[in-house]
Amino acid sequence: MKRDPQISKLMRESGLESAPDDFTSHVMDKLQAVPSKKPYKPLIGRGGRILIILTIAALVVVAMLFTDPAGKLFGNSISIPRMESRWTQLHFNLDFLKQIHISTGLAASLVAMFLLVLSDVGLNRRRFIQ
Amino acid sequence: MEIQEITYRIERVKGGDKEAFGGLVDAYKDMVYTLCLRMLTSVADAEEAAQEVFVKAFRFLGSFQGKSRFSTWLYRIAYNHCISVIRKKVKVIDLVDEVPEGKVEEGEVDGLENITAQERSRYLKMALESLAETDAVVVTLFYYEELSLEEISTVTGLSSSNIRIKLHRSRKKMYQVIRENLKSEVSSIL
Repeated sequence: MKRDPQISKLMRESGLESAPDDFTSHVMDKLQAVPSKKPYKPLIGRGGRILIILTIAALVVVAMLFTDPAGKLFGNSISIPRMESRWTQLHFNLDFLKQIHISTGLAASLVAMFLLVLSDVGLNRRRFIQ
Repeated sequence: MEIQEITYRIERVKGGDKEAFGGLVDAYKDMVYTLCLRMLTSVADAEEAAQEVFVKAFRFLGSFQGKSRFSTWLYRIAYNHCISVIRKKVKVIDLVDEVPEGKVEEGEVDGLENITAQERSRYLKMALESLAETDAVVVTLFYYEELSLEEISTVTGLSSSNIRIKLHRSRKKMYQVIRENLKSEVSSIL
């Protein structure tokens, strides 16, 4: 839509109304009463989250494609099936994890870390972002 | 204020630096105050409303994602705040349409160049005051801030066609008021 040149000129010439001199200081005084919100910072950064996702994805791929139905890794067996037959006989088995020996303390730490991630995503995000 | 400076300040405020907000207030206080004054007409109400607008903007700055310009986002807060103030005062808005279609002269006003800039400003102010609250804001955003119809639509929530009608109607009304004032000025001199 075309602007009327005479009204445009009048508006430019007249300018804006000036806010009172102490306007900014009044606003800043009012802001002092506003509780400051801490900015949301995720517990685990972007890189960390990508690493977790990739680890889980790798675990799923290994569980589905690189284990036999009994849950043993092909690396331990003598005959590794061809790739085509792996696709046709897809299964999901995490029993191969039993082959990895981790201490109870480490397992508890991993569970605690997982819970922390969940609480970070759920509770903190809801609290900080309005 | 440059866009980079605005973005920098916004990020600092989001990071917890309250003082950085002062620069944003300084940069936009006149425009926000003008919009509030055009809608509320009372100086005291406009000042209070403009301050509240900035407090609201500060509170909700976290939700500003930069999809629109910061000024557009701020004017939208100002517009909505003033509308709620008007509603609380039970004022009827946007029902003023005293311009009978076809009875007003179209086109530019002659003789405006022969009077002082101060008088022209006074006539413009009177013309703006004669408009409905929302119309005065639409005119200010379109002619002073040079916002597009789409941007004004974002600020006011009105459709582009509605804004177009408001601008057309306001222009006629403003010319009518300015002409009448000019005529009475001339006749008083004679």
